[in-house]
Amino acid sequence: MVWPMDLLDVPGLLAGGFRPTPFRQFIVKVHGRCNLACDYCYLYEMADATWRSRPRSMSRDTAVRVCERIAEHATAHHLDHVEVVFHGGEPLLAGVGLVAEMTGRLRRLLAAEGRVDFTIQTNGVLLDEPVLADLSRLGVRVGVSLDGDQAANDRHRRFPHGGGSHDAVAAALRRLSAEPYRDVYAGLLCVVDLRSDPVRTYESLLEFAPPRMDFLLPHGNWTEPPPGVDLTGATAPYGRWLIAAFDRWYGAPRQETEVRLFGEIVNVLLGGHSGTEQVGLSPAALIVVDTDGSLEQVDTLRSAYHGAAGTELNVRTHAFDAALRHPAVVARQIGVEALGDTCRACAIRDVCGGGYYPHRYREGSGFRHRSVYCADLTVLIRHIRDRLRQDLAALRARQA
Amino acid sequence: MLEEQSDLESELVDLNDIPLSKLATCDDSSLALALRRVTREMGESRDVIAGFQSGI
Repeated sequence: MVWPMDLLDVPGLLAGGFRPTPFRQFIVKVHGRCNLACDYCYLYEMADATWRSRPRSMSRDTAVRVCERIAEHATAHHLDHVEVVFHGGEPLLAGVGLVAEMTGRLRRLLAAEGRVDFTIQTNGVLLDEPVLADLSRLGVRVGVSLDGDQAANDRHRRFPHGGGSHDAVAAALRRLSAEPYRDVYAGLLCVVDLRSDPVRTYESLLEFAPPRMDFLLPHGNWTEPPPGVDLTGATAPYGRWLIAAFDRWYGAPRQETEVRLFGEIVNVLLGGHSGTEQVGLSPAALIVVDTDGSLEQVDTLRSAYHGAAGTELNVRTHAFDAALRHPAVVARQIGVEALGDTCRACAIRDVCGGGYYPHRYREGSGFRHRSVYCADLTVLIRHIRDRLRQDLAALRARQA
Repeated sequence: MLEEQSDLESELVDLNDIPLSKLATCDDSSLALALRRVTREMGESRDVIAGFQSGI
């Protein structure tokens, strides 16, 4: 029996007063293939092969239906703000025309409801001047994936012929970070590689002046552990890597950029809430739409096992509300109730939130486990807590 | 590792002794910006949701 699919009592939760959080973030996969062949990609290189059976690109008809379903959901739940993230594969392979069609249609459909924001998450290779001009005109913010300096990035993020992508992405980032496109520059995503120096990685990303960035842990779980993770918890190599990066970021006299993971941990430690599914217990209010209109919980679940992200729902036949009662969606909205006994008894559970959901998976029993990065998150959170306590004590002393 | 976690507190950082009105005079360090953020968000009624990690 696998948790949550076989064991989470959704009718019981609803009868007990649980009310699903409406989706406010819609991840739309406008293209299902990629022009890079990154060796760690959760879509193409891990447990799931669903992408092989899906259309390469989202059809215009499906895109129109996605827009109508988003508007239907926003109207039904009186949402004054929703966000659409164009994703892939590499979303720019779908062409800017499809993005223009969807942004225009959604703005018209939601004009009476409130605001809709658009972001595209790209590998940057196709971000030339005309594409940037189009995205800027459409008001679509641009996030780019880059793993650090040339050596670090090109170790993993390569073209199918084997060449590295850093030069092409760096050229795109120089355009994106300058006027007149700076306003649509959303930031950078970087996957942690233990072989790369953390401070060098952070500083090499800073060279492109991102307004914000984030460090992502490589996908893996208890059955298929991430590279280099210490399952005994004794050495916590990812935690130590992140601590070095945190100290460099936090120690700057003037903050040079936002780092989402660090910022959210700090915010939760100070009594706030996390705005990312990586940490904390805030409800996940996002849904993924694949190129054929299929609804998926969160596509990184594909790193766990074949079909793990699927819901058997499709925008052609189902409203988004149908997904709100799916056990795996509910599991990411019930906070501490979704945690296993070990996590529930842990004093930092409100900060780490059990870790990123896909990283908790163990074959045979599912997702009610602590994160495979538990030890790493623990040392990182304790380190950040200690730095905050020291500095707050100093602040109190100065103000006394 | 798990045994060590038991000494952590759930109320991890106490802001009660910080005069929040003075935060506006803080610098633009990550700590100062974090204090301003948490102070601002405490006054907001909106629900915080967990956003998609594979986009920024």
